[in-house]
Amino acid sequence: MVATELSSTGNTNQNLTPCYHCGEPLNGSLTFTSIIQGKSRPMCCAGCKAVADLIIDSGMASFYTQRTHYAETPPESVLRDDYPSYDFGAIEAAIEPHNETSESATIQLLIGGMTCAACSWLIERQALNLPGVTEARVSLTESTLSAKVTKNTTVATLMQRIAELGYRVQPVKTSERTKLLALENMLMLKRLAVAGLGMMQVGMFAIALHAGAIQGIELEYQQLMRWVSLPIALFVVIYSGTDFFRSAWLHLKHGAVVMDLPISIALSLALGASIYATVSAEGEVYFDSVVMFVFFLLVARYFEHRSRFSSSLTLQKIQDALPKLANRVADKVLERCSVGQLNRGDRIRVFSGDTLPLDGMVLRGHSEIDESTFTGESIPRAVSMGDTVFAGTINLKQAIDVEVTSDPDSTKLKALEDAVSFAETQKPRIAQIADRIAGVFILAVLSIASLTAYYWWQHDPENAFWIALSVLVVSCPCALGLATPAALTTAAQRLRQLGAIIRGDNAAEQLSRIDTVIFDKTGTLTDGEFECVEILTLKELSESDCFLLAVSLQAHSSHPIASAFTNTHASVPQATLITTLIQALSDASEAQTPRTTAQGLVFDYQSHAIRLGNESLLKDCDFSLTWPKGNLHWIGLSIDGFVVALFGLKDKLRPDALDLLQYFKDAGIQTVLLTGDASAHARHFASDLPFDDSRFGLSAHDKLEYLSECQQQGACVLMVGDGVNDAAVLAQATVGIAVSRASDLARAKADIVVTELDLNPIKFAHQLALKTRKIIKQNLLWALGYNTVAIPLACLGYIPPWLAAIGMSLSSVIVVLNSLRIKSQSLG
Amino acid sequence: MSTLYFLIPIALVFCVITLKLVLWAIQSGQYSDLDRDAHVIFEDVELNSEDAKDD
Repeated sequence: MVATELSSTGNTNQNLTPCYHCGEPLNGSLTFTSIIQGKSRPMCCAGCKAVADLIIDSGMASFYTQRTHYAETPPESVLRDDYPSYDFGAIEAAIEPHNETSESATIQLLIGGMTCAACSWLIERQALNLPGVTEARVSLTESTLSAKVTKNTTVATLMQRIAELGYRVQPVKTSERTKLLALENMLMLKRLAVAGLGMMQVGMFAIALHAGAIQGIELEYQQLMRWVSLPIALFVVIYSGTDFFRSAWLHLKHGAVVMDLPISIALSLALGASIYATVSAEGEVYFDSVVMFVFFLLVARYFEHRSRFSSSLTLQKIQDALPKLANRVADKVLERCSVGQLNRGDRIRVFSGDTLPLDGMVLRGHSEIDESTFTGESIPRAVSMGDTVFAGTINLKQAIDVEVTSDPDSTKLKALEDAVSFAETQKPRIAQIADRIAGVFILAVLSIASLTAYYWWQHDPENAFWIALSVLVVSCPCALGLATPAALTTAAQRLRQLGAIIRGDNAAEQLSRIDTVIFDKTGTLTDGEFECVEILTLKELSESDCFLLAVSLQAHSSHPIASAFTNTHASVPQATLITTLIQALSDASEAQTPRTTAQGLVFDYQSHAIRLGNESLLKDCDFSLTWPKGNLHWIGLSIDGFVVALFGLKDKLRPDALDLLQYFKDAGIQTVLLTGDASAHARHFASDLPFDDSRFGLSAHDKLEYLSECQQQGACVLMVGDGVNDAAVLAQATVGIAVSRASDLARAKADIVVTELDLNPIKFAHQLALKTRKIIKQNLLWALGYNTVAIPLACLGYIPPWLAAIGMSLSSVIVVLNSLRIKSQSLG
Repeated sequence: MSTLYFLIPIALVFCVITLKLVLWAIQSGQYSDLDRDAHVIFEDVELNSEDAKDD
């Protein structure tokens, strides 16, 4: 969702006041209000009210006066406790200790949903209010929060707090590359500043000299201007321009010709000749052209660097999130040992809430395993003796004893990661057009310049040098070099505002070429929420009564399937027993709340025993039917030992999934569904949606094979996925997009990471990519056109060096301005 | 015209001072996030006025 600017209320109906927090029009009656700055303000939903109250209660009401955009409507699910799983291991990896002994550590969190600068202020203040947080700084450019926390601070608390404010938060890790790029960024800015200031100074003196050339100037003052310009230009070339010389020389040593070579030649010739002219007090000086040349080259380089810098965010690897310690059971004694010391056949105990360190087989105990990082499936898998469990999944319920069946290097997780690294090498790389033509272009420029010099040397030796120099300067493909990076940088910035971060090199350019889009199902097109689509009543109670009781029970559960039970119709129960039970549940005291077990919910009220859960919870109940099999996920409700109703649940399609599929279809792009789900429900799901092809029951390997087949046939493939099992496909696809709440590995391998909860940013990304490609084409056309026209003119001697420098600069500026148009393109 | 011998060095001195300041600003990371820092100046004012209200 795009944040609405405060000035436009976002709705056309004048009678409707927008929600004070998010700007959405209020539907119907005014149910929620919050007191903000002494006035009662309307709120559209409980989520907005919760966030607004939190902001007000912590004394940060000025958020509302400072903001320039409405905040996002917080999804209610975020308000639920989503972050406990991060407490274990994952956070350890997110914390990047300065060194072992230091008392504090810096953590990096990626934050989604920031709409304007007031958001960053709010997040910083809230973070600083928490105990243990000593420093907090939000970077809007990178959408990250870096916080300095003292040791032993639970980072989950920090993440929880930010989530409560209505933002989405994921841990990230700064890589060495990011740090190097940040340093380089600083150095480039300094060089740019020196060149810029130098350009102004030398330019000032140059104006005096040019005026003097027209009106006449005494030799004494002309020489003064030249002698003052000389050290400044020299300093600029040495300080800001060293990289051109170094790079040209390094490449030349290895026999490669790069654009830096003609640049270096032009710079040294122009500077050398100007110094000679100054010392000998005759001829022309071109200090201003030299400095201007350096400045505009650096501007181009800076843009190029920015486009790489924005894509350098390295997301955390899932392997880092594995626990380093395990509990070994040897001779009935529990001992802590490092995971590296474990052997196959060892027995380890995994407590509730712990991440499994290695693959294994359950020896004792029943529990549920959260495998959402692997498959995107949000319903935990029930395991008992003899079942296989995998490293990186989380044990949710009781402690289990597991026999280790793998080494740290042979887990399924490791195998997936290896598949990913291999897949990355298979990725088709589309070389930038500018790179492809650069080599030929440079050689052409050098030979044209020498030929020009030779020709003019024969006919007009006095001017030969300056004409050849003009050719070198005018042919400098600054604009050509800028054409792609300037457009890509702008596109990346725009897309970040729209809710997606571009990480891969040139991802925006490549996204515009795709002709096939592959979707994963679970977690990508569905969002882990469920809906109840079928109710079977087995006793005299009505469907609606059974459902209402289930709603009241599930209100006490944080299990994903609880999302299927919401009372949307505001119906009232009919049967007296149900009414009593619902009443009891709504004002249940601590002792009287339903218990959550691995199989479902258990509620005992007075003499009644109510159960809501899966088959095994209800196995002792009176039940005449066979448990339904097939496409839906069934849970049952029993009262006093009689099963009264069965609920058939299915995972809910994301609201904008159909829209997105239709969009791709309209754009003439093949849509494909690849899912690991082999059930009839998955087939039913696919038949409702506009897919050109759909495959079911695929393993991660099968998905990769499908992709390779497509790519061998020359398809440019966009993959949209979220699970670890999608990561390899994301890496190998021409462009990979990880949706929000995707697994860490999937995010780390995707070219584009969506930070919003919906799928709209994918559509925006594609539209933006098409526009970007158009702009890049225009840029390249202009740059090449300019050079083809200007070089012959320079060869003929019509362009003096100073005009060449101005022309070169102007063509660069035009390219930059054209690229900025991407920012104002309308998307829909 | 001979004042140039006096004025140009002064201009250069100011240029050097400016350069030093800009380099210092870059070094201290003031240009690392251009989107956000534009608003920092308003935040402090807002905080102070709020403190005053509380008193």
